[in-house]
Amino acid sequence: MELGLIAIGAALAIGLSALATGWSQSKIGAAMAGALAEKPELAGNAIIMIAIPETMVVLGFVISFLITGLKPE
Amino acid sequence: MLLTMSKVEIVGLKTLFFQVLETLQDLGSIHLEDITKKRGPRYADLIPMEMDPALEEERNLLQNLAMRNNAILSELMPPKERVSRSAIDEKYKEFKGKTLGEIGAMVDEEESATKELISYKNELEVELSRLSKYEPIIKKVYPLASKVTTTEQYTSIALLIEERYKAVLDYIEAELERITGGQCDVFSARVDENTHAAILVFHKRFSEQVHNFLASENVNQVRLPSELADKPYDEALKEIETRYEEIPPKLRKVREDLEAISNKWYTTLVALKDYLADRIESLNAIPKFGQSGHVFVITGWIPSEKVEETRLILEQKFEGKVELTEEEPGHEEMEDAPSALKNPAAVKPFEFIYMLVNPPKYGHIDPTFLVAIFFPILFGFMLGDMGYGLVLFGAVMLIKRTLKKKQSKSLFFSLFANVLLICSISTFIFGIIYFEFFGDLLIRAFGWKDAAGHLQVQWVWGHTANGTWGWPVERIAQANPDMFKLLLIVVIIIGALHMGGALTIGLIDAIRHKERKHVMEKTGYLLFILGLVVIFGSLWGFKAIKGVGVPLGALMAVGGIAVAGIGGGFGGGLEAALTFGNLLSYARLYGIGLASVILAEVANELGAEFGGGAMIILGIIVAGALHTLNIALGILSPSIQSLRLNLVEGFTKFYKETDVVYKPFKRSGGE
Repeated sequence: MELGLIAIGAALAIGLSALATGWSQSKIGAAMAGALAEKPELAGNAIIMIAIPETMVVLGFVISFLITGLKPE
Repeated sequence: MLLTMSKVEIVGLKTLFFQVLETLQDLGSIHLEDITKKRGPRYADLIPMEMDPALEEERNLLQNLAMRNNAILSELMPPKERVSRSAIDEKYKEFKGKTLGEIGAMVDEEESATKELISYKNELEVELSRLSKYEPIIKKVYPLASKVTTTEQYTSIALLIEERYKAVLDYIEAELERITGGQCDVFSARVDENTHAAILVFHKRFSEQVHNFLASENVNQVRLPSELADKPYDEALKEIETRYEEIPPKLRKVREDLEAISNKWYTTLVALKDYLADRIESLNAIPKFGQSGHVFVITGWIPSEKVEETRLILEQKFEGKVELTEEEPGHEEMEDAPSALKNPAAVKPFEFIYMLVNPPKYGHIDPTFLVAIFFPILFGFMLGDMGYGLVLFGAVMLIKRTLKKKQSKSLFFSLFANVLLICSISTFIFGIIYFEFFGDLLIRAFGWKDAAGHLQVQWVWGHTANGTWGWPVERIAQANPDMFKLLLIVVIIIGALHMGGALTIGLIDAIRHKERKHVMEKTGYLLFILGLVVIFGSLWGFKAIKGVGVPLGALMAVGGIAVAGIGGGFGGGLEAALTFGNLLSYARLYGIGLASVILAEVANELGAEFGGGAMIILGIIVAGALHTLNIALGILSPSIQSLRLNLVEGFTKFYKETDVVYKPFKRSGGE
């Protein structure tokens, strides 16, 4: 595979998953901020909820890392 | 572990009611139940106790005394010498023998001794803070004002003008001349780099016109306290300065007097605060009790290990006129049973998780030990670095010391500090496995890396058909796919063990509560995970049995979905299949760890770029700053991800929570 394609693949893997995580965290974060104003005792849940979409970017990072390890043909 | 609780009923003669209540509060073991919320024939004949007017009056008086006492207490600084709990308890006992009249007289005496001093202190503090606002102005204008002498007919105004606008002073001077017909003078000087001060002196009869002119031109005058506003500027400033110098010694004297009072009274006041709070709480509890004819009835829950002791004390103290009986709780009553945790010291810190979710429901298994096993493993697997482990250990010890010094009562911080302490040890151990010390610092020092940055030295401990594995385990394993495979297998094993543990707890719980559907569901999930382990095991580990292992694993996984489906319907089957996603979710352990080690290596690389000689110091600073950032991220992210794995992948599989927490009716004890 060409080096350029490898780089594009790796960039897409991390980039798209980071965008998706950012978008979901912004939605969850805004909703949880509203919920916390009403019920501050939900702070613990808020942290967990906001952390949930991080799975995407973490896995995207791993995949991207693996792709960069591929040898160009 | 959850404490075993016993449902108890205490019945006694009404004449002994208040003594029994006091005894129960001293014993501090019963979690009171509200009898008015109880249904069923056993409670049908009971009339709820009511607060009669005399008791209402007593409560009001107690509340009033508590309010006044707390107000005094809040104004006094605790004595330098720490007040011992035993001294407070001693005073507390003295209050038990006193009437409310005597206590009221004591509060009156405290008030009269402190009220005037406190209000004088507050006045001085307010005035000092008000005058301190004028301090910078005084410093700037006073040297100029001291040169100005005004007579009775003349008044003055001070202006502070930014240096770049100082030209405006000429315009103001010209206008002032015009308005006053020359009966004026302007003194101005530069008082600091950016400010020019000016004092306008003019005849009093032009005061209104001058003020109007300055207001229309938007020139800001230096405002003085209202009581000094009419005085000429030099006099007013002099007075402010005199007062500003007089207040601190006065304030020091008042504070010393209050300190002397605090040394004398503080223990008594704290004991009284506790005593009054306890009396009010005990009166507030009255409507929870029942009565019939000549007897009162108190119901509640006591830890089983304390039932006998409580029964004996009540029997001996009240000579058999008060009886404690253990009841067999019904199914509905079990729902109200309070939950109390009792874990060994090593597991206890992990109870912090119940500050994020409600504690486990009584009658179910407390999963704290599962968190205590897996939280440090998950954390250490991600952060894994000897250097970071040592830094974390040191930082936590420092935080613990600070918390102790500040007498912090935050349970969350004290528990979480201990969790991080345990995690720092697991971080160090995983650091040995990865042979990471601030990233690849040791590996660089030993020259174990080749030019491409790959580890050259590795003590091989496994030549298998699947690859060559050894120590150190290289996390940045692009050049060594075997290592990556190994790490992935380990995270899947950790995930399978963690989820398996959670599901086993759920299964035992379901069997104990004879919930057939849940038994099927949990069995299905477990079978599915086991099937996945067999499949991955035969693909990656034991390739020799691949031919049998893969179909067997697939059969187990499909069977698991079917069994979970029988127990939990379509949702159960779907949930079993989604467990695969949960299992893969543990790959984050590798991902977060990878990010951490890459950042650590970047820090070292950047530091090394500065070369030798004097630049080495700059290199160390840059690397140190990046490592600090990495440690901060490395604490935050693994903590959150470990929490998430415990709560989402673990707890959702079995956890039953409750909001009925064991709150014994007891003396406040300084809380």
